[in-house]
Amino acid sequence: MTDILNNILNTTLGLNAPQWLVALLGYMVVATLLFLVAPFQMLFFTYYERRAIAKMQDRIGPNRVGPQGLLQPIADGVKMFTKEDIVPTSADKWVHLLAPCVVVAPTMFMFAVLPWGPGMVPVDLNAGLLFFFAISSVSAVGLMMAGWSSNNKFSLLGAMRAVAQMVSYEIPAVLSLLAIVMFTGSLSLVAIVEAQRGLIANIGDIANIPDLGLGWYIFSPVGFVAFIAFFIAALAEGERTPFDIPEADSEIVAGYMTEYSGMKFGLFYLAQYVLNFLLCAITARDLFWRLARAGCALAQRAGALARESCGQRLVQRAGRCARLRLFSHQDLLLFLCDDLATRCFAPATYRPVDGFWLEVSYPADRCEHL
Amino acid sequence: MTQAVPIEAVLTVAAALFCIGLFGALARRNLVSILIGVELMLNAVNINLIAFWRYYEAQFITGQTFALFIITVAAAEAAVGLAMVIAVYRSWTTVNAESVDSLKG
Amino acid sequence: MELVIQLIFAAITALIIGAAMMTVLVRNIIHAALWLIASFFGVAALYLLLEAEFIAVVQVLIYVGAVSILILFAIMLTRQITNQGAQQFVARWWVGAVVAVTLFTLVMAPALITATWVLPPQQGPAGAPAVLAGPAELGRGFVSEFLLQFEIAGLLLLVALIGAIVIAFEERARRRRVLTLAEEHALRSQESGVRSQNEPPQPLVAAERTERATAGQD
Repeated sequence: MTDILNNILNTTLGLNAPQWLVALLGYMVVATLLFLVAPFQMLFFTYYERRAIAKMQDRIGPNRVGPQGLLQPIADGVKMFTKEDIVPTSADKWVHLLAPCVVVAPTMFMFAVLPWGPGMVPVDLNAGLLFFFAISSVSAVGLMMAGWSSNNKFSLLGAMRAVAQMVSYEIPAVLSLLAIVMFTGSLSLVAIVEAQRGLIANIGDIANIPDLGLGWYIFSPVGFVAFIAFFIAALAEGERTPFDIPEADSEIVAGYMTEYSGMKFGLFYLAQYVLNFLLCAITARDLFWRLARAGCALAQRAGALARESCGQRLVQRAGRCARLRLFSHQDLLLFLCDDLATRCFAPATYRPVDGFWLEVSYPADRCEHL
Repeated sequence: MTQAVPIEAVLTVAAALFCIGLFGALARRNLVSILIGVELMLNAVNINLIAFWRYYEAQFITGQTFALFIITVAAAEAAVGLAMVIAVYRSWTTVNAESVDSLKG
Repeated sequence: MELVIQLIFAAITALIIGAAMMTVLVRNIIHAALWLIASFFGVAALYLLLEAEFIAVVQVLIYVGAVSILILFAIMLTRQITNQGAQQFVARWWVGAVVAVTLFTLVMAPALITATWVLPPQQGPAGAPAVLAGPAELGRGFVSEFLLQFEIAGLLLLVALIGAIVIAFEERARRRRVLTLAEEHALRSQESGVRSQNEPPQPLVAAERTERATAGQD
């Protein structure tokens, strides 16, 4: 991002902007993009979840707004925005106001270390994985604030349950990924992803044997056990079904969200779904990198994620110069989107060879980016 | 950072934080508040350690290690201290430091 | 560039000191704990500015994620609902203020008089980034140079874990008893009687009161 901005500002426009300003602008553009991604994926996660649960319960689910109810999330969003914002008279006003922000902000922060593709990571922090979990534990404070400031028994009970659950399940989550960290020898998410390329984890490609994506850590025994432990802990952190007592609506109305309405309530929902998305993403990055078209259930849950790593596979496989077989229009589209973003870092030239093949060549000096 | 802010500025921040924590520990009645003051003081100490590490021997790990050990001790202190607060509350039904005075002669 | 860093440093300093002042001055103890969290965040930001990113992350993980949650839980377990607006400072709070201000002056006075407050000369070739010890070096140090200290820290944590459980443990028979309405009524009248005689309440009563205040915690 910094490179592009540098080109636009200093070379094209000739503004002579100082380096720090360019870097700052670059980070701001990236942050804005990510902030736009978060609510968007949340909207469609709610739709997907409602449809899936309805199928399981032999119902139909939302199908009125738009084709197959696809516009339902938009309608929900409009409803959220236009609802009256009610603050209980006995509530602690400032804490009540700040709590949703404190819950949402950490989940947004967590995007900062998540790699999206080769060279596409907002900040490659040395302690990236640790940062991810450290920041995720901050939202517990927000839950506590929400529960306490509402001055409502149900809220307080729900907050206590939620916080106790988050704090206790964080330990298995971190410990299970510690195995992966010891495999890789690094806490950086980019390094963890890099270590999973090739045939066998940490070894890389073996000559003359095709790369089948067996380098994912999930195919190693330790990684598999770590995946199961992490999956359970992630369900608890994201407050999904077997672990949903914090908002068990038959006992304590809606837990810490009871006294919230309108957009503040929406913010809690946003935080929850973004957290779920991020937990899926971190699972994928740590254990299943390059999950391409395998119709795995987890990938379906993080639909966006599967799509994105599909694009990655196509690019990553391209070494200096590679031919790619494109199976469908969708593939081509995804590849082009991905390549558009990647080009900023490694400008590639590609030309169609015949019908199905696409030849991609990268300049030799930029190849290490892949 | 090292080229923009003199180390004395960082140390002043740490000293101020330490003194605020000291005031909190001395002047508050609530046992939990006293523990909060102690936590502030420990944080001030850590700032000092990291500042000295960064400005004078950034290529070694001693300063960071020391800071990590202090964080460990602080966590242990908080756990035990708060457990004691809860135990005191259970037998005295108060967390007021002045009321817990049965050792008074 | 220098100006930007100085501005960021000033903002972080304002956050740390302001939040710490609010922590010790504010009346409501839950607000105090929340301001404490803000102060911890400021300290973590300062670590980031000092390029100790691992320590910054650990600060957030331990202090914001664990210690402050522990403090909030402790406050909620020990809060006296009837006694909320009570005096928060000791009678001779000014002694504490004098001690703190004197200490600050004593520490800072020599520094203000003698220290130069100039930036250290740039070491090595100009513009070359300093080599910083990161998490990798730290990890290597823990299993070689600082092995003994590392083990002792682990032992300390274990002892603290056991100690905290032993101290705060409450016998199950006492804790889990659900009072009937009549018992509750009797307990309440007994309590008010105890209060009027101005005697410390009995331990069993205390345990039951805690139970009622915190029912449904787990």
